[in-house]
Amino acid sequence: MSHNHQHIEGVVEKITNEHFGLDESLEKVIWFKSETAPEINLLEINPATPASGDVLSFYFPPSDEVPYPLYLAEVTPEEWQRVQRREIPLPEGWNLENYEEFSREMVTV
Amino acid sequence: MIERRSWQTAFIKQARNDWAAYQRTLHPSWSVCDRLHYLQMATEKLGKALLVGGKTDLERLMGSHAAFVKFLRVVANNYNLSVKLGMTKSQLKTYFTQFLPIAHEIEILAPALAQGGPNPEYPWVDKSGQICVPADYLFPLTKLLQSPSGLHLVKYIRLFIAEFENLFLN
Repeated sequence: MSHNHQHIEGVVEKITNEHFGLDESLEKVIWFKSETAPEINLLEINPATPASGDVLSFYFPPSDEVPYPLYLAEVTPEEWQRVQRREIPLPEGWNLENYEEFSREMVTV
Repeated sequence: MIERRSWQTAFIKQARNDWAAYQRTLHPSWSVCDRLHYLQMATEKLGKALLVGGKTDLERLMGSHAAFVKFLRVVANNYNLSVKLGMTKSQLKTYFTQFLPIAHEIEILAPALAQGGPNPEYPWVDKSGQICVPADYLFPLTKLLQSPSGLHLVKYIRLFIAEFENLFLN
């Protein structure tokens, strides 16, 4: 595992911990690992978000806290199932073959 | 006198235009200030599209940039929305009240409301006397928009703009 990957992983865990702490309804965070660029792609699974039938990702430029380009999206649990069945497409570069799932039980809030 | 419904149609049309521009600015090639500028514009027009249909003084509303926070306060009592989201009246009110601080931060991005401070359009002088440029400035609002509440709010803005007629005109 490269130093860069370890660093990104640490940042992802920090964001994930923070978001589980901020929102009790957040069920899971899916980290789609980028194979081409040092960036963070996160999909949050949250029943409290309005269903839209698509995955709209929001871009946030690197900052002191998150020193990588950050793409964040949010879907309902039903939409996540549809994503997994490939009925709802993911943003370009997000790959269902290469992701890691974080659940509330896995993190220290 | 032009009917208020015509003003509502005009404002929601412009809100949709500004929202489309906002979506284009989600590409990394755009600056944060551009993204926030279009988000502020879209939400102001969305707010006015609803408020202009009420008893608000038309001239006062037209001359103000403060519409989004009031819009959310009205939305928090909207029957159609409570039905759509399966919430009771009090649940809806509690739920949308949580967004007011972020909505306020979006609203005061308008230079006229920024009180000579950070805004996404014009340079300003900070407390230390330094000239700040919107294109270089790290807007604290960005952090709020990354939070789960921020993501929810932006998705609701999208929903309100897309389904404005069904939710607010019927």
